[in-house]
Amino acid sequence: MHESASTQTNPSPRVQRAPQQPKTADAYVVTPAIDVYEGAEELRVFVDLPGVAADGLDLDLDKEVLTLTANRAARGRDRAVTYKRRFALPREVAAENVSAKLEDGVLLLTLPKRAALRPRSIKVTSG
Amino acid sequence: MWSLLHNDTMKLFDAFERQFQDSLAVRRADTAISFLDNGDELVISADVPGMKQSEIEIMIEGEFVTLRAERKPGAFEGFKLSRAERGAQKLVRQIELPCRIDAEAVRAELKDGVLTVHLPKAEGAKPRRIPVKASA
Repeated sequence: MHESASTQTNPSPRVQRAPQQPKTADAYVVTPAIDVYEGAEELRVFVDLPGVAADGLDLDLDKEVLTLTANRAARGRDRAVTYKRRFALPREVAAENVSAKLEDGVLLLTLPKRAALRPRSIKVTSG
Repeated sequence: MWSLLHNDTMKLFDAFERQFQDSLAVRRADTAISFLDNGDELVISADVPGMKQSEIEIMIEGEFVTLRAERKPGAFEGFKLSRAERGAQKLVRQIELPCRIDAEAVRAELKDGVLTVHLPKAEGAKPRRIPVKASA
């Protein structure tokens, strides 16, 4: 998309592409719909990924940005689909403890909050 | 005070997404249904992510097939829905079949949130190859 000045100075524009995504060119790229539920201890993110099996799902965490890429094979006349979406994890989420579960074409991401940022009640003792 | 913190967190989540421009192109899965004529059978497939077998109904009446599926919105105690794009999904689709089918042999499968219905054509409706004879 941004193939302006930078492309001209770069003798090989191919290196700008992510090498692991050769299929993206002929797949139909779709942003999946999500629901976000927020609780005191964790966030739950549900992502609709119909037609995606566990081996077609890739979750990549780089610093606080979570990138979801999921591939759905072509079927009949339907083109292959690549579901793609990025999430900036809120600071209060403990990124290292993010977990994911894929069931019936829906991905559930569980993002636990850091213990120090969870609301808690302080017990008052006398004496 | 905690609710303030929560609001800020979600604003951050939203702000980052807007920057990525990802949410501009959300495609609702409930529109995705396809129909294919395979020669010997018709194939209907529909995206029904998160739906269970018990939430899907397929009815065949004469030359019409009706698909009904409904997903109840999730509810979690102590959780607040702070972003809702998926919603309660409801699919009602009536499709007129282009030919007669063998209703007894229809089968449906549900896999990875995709429903596929195979409708074999009735004997008389299947394609036939007509041999061409050379006239003597």
